[in-house]
Amino acid sequence: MISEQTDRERSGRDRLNSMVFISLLFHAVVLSLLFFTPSFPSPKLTFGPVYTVALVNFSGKTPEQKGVAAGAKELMEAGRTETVLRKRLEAEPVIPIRSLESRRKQDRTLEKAMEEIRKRAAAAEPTPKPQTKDGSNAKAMPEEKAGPASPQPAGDADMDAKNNAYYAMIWSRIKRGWALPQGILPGDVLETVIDVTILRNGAVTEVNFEKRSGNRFFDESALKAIRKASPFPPMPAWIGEASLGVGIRFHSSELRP
Amino acid sequence: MERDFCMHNLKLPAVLALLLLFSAGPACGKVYIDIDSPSFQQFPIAVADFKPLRPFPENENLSLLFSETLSRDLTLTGYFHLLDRKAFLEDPKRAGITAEGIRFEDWTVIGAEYLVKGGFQTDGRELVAEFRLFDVVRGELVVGKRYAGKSGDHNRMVIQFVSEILLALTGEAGLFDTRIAFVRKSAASAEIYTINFDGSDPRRVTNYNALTLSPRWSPDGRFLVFTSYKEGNPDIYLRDLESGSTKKIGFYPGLNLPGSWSRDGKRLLVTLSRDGNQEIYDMNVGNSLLVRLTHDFSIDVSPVRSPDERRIAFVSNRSGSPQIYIMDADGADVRRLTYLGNYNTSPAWSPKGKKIAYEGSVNGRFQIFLIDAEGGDPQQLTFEAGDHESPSWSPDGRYLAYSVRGYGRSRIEIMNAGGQGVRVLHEDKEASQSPIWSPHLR
Repeated sequence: MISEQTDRERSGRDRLNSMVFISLLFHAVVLSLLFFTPSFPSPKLTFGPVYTVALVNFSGKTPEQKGVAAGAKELMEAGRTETVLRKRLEAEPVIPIRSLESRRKQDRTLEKAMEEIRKRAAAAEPTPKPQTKDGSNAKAMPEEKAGPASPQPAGDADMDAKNNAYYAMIWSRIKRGWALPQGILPGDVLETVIDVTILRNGAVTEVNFEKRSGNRFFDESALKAIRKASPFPPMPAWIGEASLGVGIRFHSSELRP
Repeated sequence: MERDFCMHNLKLPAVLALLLLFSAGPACGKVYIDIDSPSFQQFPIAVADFKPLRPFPENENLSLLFSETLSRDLTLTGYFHLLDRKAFLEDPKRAGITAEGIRFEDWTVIGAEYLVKGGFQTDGRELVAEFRLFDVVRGELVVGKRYAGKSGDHNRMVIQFVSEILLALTGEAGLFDTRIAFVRKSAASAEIYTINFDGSDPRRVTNYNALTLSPRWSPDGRFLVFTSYKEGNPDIYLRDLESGSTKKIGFYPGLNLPGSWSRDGKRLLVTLSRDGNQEIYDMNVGNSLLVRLTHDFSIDVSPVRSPDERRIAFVSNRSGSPQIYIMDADGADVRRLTYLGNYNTSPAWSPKGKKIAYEGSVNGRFQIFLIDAEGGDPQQLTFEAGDHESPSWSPDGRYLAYSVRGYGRSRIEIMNAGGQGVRVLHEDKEASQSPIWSPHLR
């Protein structure tokens, strides 16, 4: 949007050109303020939503991303092949038994990747990261903030990877416990979204349907998967929130005559 | 809006900082975790040994008999993963069979989602049994029943309760009240048999010492029609399974072969060769009057109605090789359904109407396929060696029965509609073929 406008303006009118200059100047000022103001609100720093959503979202809808931490990348890869498998099941579902087997193998590779991430996260934890709680530690923030703006993101991406490691743990726990035998769903693609609130100790306090699929057996199995998976692992120290609101989307696209 | 920002801005690092400014409000903090289903895990369920409802029971081994029969029948459905009793933590002596007497954590911790408990008492030849299904994750009773009967009735009670469990957890009551008819071929003859969904109680229906084939259940399950050569010509007979009487209903010159019934049980699609080559007709079961549906110089056979009775699928070799075609119920608007492979036969229309199962030749062997009734790419369901033939749907549309021949053995098998959960229903050295699933028989 922004770049389109400036192109047009450059081709034509001088007045607008100056407006662009003013706009750029304004942004530069705001940005530099951002860089050097110590009182920036904490949540967005400790918990960068822009990255978080994209990385944990295994549905394959998100655009490809470069420059994420290695651990997160592995996770993404594991997640992505999972999605590809699912698609293959839909598009040319010819070898169901075999694809189930390879899925199991897939789960194992994912678990391996998860294990590695967990280790890395555990190794990273003791290093001094003062931005852990409530974001009251003002001095650490500007440095952290420089991350996304700089051409080579380091700090935030790393932290996002750690956040994602936590989400991946939740993902894996729920998926492992989600029991839904083949053959009892209608042919339509179903989606249920359940909102949960996670406390620092991992306890799941609120569980609400944001969206029901319309199939009560599917909804029930999703709800049960969350109940079985809870309490979740305690929130890692680097997540600065007192509680997390997470939406868990369950999808199904089983072929059913 | 904010969520959109979160999802799509990642490609533009130059604008990232700006966008962060606008999107970093608290509303953007929501994270979504996506979980895709098709891992298809069965319901983990535990079945505890049944307890005598009175002290000093007369028949103590009923305790194990109930739990073992129940476990076996649950496994048969393909929906349940039975937890090993060795893993049970509960002390059976102290635990009760009602919600108050159960510590649900003892069951969730070993991975159970559901638990079945029950009790029994005998009084002479009288048997009373209680069954309860608990959701141990929620910690509540799902369904409970008390059955009274004779001492030999424990199997029927178990089947009754398994149907209750299936209804509660899957929305369908299961198939324990269905039977599967099939043809058993020996050297000189072929006779019709029926067998229960769980493989029990095989019964011989015909004993003509002649070639008898193509059984078809009436919609109410009371009648079977079939073709038999018992009087020389392949004629169609109607067997009343209640009274045991048989009536000849299709006896035109040449081949008389039954296809599928209409829902009201008054009409039967048949294949006749009385007009020179095999053509499809709609026959009135009461008076054998015919309406001819196909007019072609090639062979047209194996007609099946769609569940809404608006269309008919059949096999024709009008294109040079046997393929499946679909036409309107009155024979108009014929269109070819299968294009892949050069030998596709035995169409079976799913009870929900969306799919058609059939057998197709792959490298000289027949395998079961599934195709959308509107056309498209077929899905191969069986891959093993041997010929897989004559698919037939269960009335709930969740399973297919079919025959397998090869290596001197012959089987009737059942699998779920996704091609998994294969179970052998019947196996012998004689050729068993043409399985056909009954409707629910009360």
